[in-house]
Amino acid sequence: MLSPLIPPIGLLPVLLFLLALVYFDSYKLTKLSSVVGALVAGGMVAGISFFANGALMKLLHLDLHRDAYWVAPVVEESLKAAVMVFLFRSHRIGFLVDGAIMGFAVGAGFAVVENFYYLLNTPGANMAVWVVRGFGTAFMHGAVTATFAVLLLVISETREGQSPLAFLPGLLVAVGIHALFNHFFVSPIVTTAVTLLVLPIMLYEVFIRSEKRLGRWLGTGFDADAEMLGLLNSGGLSNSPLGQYLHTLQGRFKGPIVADILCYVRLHTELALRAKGLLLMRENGFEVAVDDATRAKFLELQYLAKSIGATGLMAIQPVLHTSRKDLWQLYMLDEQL
Amino acid sequence: MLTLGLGSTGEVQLVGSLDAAQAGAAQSYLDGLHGAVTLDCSQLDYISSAGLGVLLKTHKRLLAGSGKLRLVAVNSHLRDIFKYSGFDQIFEIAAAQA
Repeated sequence: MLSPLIPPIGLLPVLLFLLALVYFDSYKLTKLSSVVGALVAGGMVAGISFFANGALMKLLHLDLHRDAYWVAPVVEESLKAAVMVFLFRSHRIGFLVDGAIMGFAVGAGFAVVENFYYLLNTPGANMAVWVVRGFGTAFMHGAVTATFAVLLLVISETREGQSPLAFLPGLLVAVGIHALFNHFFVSPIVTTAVTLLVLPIMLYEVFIRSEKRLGRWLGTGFDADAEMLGLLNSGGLSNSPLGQYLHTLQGRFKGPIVADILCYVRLHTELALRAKGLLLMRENGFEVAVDDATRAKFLELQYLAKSIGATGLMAIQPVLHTSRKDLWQLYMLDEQL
Repeated sequence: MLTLGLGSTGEVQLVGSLDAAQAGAAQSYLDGLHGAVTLDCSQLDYISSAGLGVLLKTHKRLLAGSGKLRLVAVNSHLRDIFKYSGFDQIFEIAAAQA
């Protein structure tokens, strides 16, 4: 008979740890609904992995142990990585902290569904097995996907980060850790203990580094946006380098498009300032709602982007901050509406 | 350079630039104030994110003691920064006193 303690031990620790991660993020970069979405995505990946692993075992004539050692880590980490690459490419993660949290959530969702499956199908397993599954395997799933996300974000800031294969180093590390874990070179309990010891240290380091980086970006970015706004409002735009650059666009674009480009620069700057203001306020414990005026600005920005077209947007890249973090902040602000 | 001092009606006068270099000194000065504090910004010509952080921290501390931070005589550029960053939802920003 299944002990009443086993389901909570198998399912809850990883979810409680995830909640703690969300709580300790002082900038509140991730919304709870996004974290729940990542959990669900991780759960769906677990379902897909189950069938993919089964098919590959048949195809390659593998037994359960060989599959666990080599095939499952590749299949499962690739699918979880695909979710993270989607979040990355759609600017839903911008910093190491939200990358780590969303990565851990995808891994946790995977682990919860996997452990639920085992709860239903191996009712005779003893408490030690569930301690390993609940604290070891589940945390490993969260940790390796978080590691993948962190490496993806770190590499994205290097020159190599522009490559479409920039995700490969993170994937190799994730598969490697997963395969190492599955081999149980030492006893499962020791492996679990090591996981529980290393994971908080790793995530603590990620949080500290990320908050420092975010603080620096926030400070310099806010001041640059404020300076740009001052220039746009000063009446002296035409004599500035920005004004002269916009003047050169008159030869390449029709008058109304140049006017829309100027409006776009202004709105983009205002929204960037709003996003950074929101983060600064959160850092200091203030949570304010995003108002209708901001919503209207987003709609106008979308209209202007269409009006300007892809060529026009490329033309204004030199005067706008359009790094991945700058695009992420607009996504983050849009999500608050 | 930034100078902080008390005006004739008890408001705190900020003169100069509240930037990263001055944030520490400004924070120390404001930490000594309690209750409802009015900042006269008529001679404040620049504020950076570090300065805004000082105001936020001070406002939060004052709110905990049923006080608040009130900004008066804010010039149009600084008012724009407060407005577009959303800080106007937190701080009471009053018109310049006659």
